[in-house]
Amino acid sequence: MMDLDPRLYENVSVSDNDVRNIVLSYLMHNCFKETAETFLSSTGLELPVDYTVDVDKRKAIFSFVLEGNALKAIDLTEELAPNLLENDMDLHFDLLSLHFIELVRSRKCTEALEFGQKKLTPFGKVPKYVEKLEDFMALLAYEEPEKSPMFHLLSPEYRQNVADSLNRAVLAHANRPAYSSLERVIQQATVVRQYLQQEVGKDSYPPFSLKAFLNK
Amino acid sequence: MEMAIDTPSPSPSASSAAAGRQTRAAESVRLEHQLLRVPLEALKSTVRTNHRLAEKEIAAVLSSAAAAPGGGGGGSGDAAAVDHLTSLVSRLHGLKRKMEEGARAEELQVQRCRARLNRLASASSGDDAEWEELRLKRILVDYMLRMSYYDTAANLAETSGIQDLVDVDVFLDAKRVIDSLQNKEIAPALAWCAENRSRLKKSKSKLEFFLRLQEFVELVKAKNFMHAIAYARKYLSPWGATHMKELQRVTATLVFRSSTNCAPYKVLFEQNQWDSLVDQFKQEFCKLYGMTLEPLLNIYMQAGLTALKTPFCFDGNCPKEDPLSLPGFRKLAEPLPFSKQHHSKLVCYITKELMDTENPPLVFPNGYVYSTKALDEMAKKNGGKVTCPRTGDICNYTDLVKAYIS
Repeated sequence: MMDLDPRLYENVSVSDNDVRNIVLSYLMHNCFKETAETFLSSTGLELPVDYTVDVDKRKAIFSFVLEGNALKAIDLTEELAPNLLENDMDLHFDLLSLHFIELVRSRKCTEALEFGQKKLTPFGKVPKYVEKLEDFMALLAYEEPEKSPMFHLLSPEYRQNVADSLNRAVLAHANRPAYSSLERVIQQATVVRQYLQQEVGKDSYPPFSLKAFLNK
Repeated sequence: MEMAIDTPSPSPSASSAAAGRQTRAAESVRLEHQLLRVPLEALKSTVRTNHRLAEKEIAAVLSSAAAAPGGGGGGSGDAAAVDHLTSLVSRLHGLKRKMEEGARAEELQVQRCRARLNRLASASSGDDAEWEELRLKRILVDYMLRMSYYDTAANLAETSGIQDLVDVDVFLDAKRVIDSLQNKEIAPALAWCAENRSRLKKSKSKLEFFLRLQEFVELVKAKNFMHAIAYARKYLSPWGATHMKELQRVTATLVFRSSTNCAPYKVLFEQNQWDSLVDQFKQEFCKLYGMTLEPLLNIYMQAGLTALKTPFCFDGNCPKEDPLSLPGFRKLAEPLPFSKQHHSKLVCYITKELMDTENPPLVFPNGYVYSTKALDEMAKKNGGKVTCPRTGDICNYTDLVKAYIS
C-alpha cells in the first residue's frame, strides 16, 4: 500500500479534548457506562450531562437482545421510546423474529408455531417480510436447526445486528446521534478517499481501510 | 399458380415397391423406439425384482440354517432340529413357487420382446396394407391408454390380436398410482419411487420430493401442525440442500395456513396441486419406460399436418383431396408451423395429374396454366382449338406457351 507522506500529518493538530470526546462518544454509544466513568476520572474530564440520559435503560435493552430475550427488549423499548416500534415495522419484525428463533433454538416448537401464526402472519402481506418468514419457518423442518442451511439465523452475529439497529433507533428517537463519533470519522475518511480517487485518478489514493490503517 | 401435394404414383413398379419397404423398415426402427424399449424395460424390472427376492430369501434361509439348534444331545434336541429344518424346507418350497411365477412372468415378457422384433422384421416384407392397418391400431391403443380409456384399449387390442404389440399391463400399473393420487394418497406413488429409486436418482427426479411436499401441505390443511413439523423433519429436510427454495416456501404455510389470501401460498392448498402431481408422475413414468411423453397419435398427426400445411390451403382454394380442406384438420393444424416447400409441385386443374418434365404446364394467353396431356387431348377433339375451363376463353393450341418449373 502506498503510504502517505507522514510530514503531511505534522501540520494538523488534534486537540486532546477532541480525542477524548471521540472515545467517550464510542463508550456511551455502546452503553459502556462504567468504563466511561473510569475513563473520565482518569482524564479529569466531566461527563456531559446529556450523555447520562437513558444509558442504563438502553444498556438493558441491548443486553436483552443479545441474550435473545426479544419480548423483554420490546417491553423496555415501549417504555423508553413509546410508538417507536409502531412506526418502524422493519425493526419490530426483526425483534419478533428474534423471539421466534429463540423458541426454535430452545426446541419449543409448539410455542414457536403458535407465536409465528399469531404475531408473524400479519407481516405476510409485504413481500420483503415474506422472504424472511420463509427462512424462519424452514428452521422448523430441521431436528438440529444449528446444522441447517439457515444456521446463520441462530448466530450471535445475527442478534448483534438486530441489537445495533435497535440501539440506533432508540438514540435517534431521543434526538441523539445514531452513530458514534468514531464511526462517523471513519465513514467520512472513507468517503473522502473515494472522492480523491475519482478526482486524482486510480492508484494514487487507495481506498481507506481501518484494518490496514491500524496495521501500519 | 396452383400449389398442392404430390400423391404417390397409382401403379408403382416392383422395384420401387421393394425400395419403399426398405425405407419403411429404416423409418420404423427410428419411429418405433418405444415398441422395443417398453417391453425391455418391463423385462429388466421383472428380472431385477425376482433376483432381489431370491437373494433376500436365500440369505435368510442360510442364516437361519446356521442358527439351527445343534444335535448331538438327546432326542428333544434332534426333534427341534428336525422341526427347524422342516420349516426351512417349507420356506424354500415357497421360494420355488415364487421363482416359478417369476419365470413365467419373464417368459411372457421375452415373448413380447420377440413379437415386436418380428413385427419390425416384417416391415421389409409382407403386405403393405396389413402392416399399416396394424400400426394404426397400435397407435390408437396407445392413445386410449394415455387418455385412461383402459377397457376400450384392451378390447381393441384383443379383437385385433395385438396384445403382445401394445402395453396395456404397463399402463395398468401406472393406473394404480394415478388412481391413488386422484384420491389424494401418495403411498402407491412412493412405493413406485422406492422400486425405481436408483434410476429416478440418476435422472435427478424430483417426484418423491413433490409427493412429500404435498403430504406436508395436507397435514397443514388439516391443522395437524405438530405432525406436519415432524413430517418435515423426517422427509423434507434431507432435500434441503438441493431444493431449499421449494422447502422454504412450503414450510411457510405453517403460518399462512389454508385460509390465507397470500397468493404464492394460497395456490399450494388448491386441489389442482394433485392434478399436477398426476402429470408429473406420468412424465416420470413415460421417461422411465422410454416412452414418448406425447401420445403417438399426437406425434404422427402433428408431423403429417405440418407437412401438409401451406399458405395456399388457408387461402380458401384447397382441393377436396387435401385433408386441410376439412375444418377439423384445419383446427388441429392451427398452432403448427407451415411446411417449408423448396420446389413447386403443380397439379393440373383438369386431370389432377402432376405437371412435370414429362407432362409440362402450358400457359393460356389469359395466364391460366394446365397440363400438356389435358390440352393435347382437348385440341385433338376440337380441331386444334382449346377452351380454358375457368374462363371459357378459346384459342389455338399453337398459342399456348410452355412454362418451366423450378
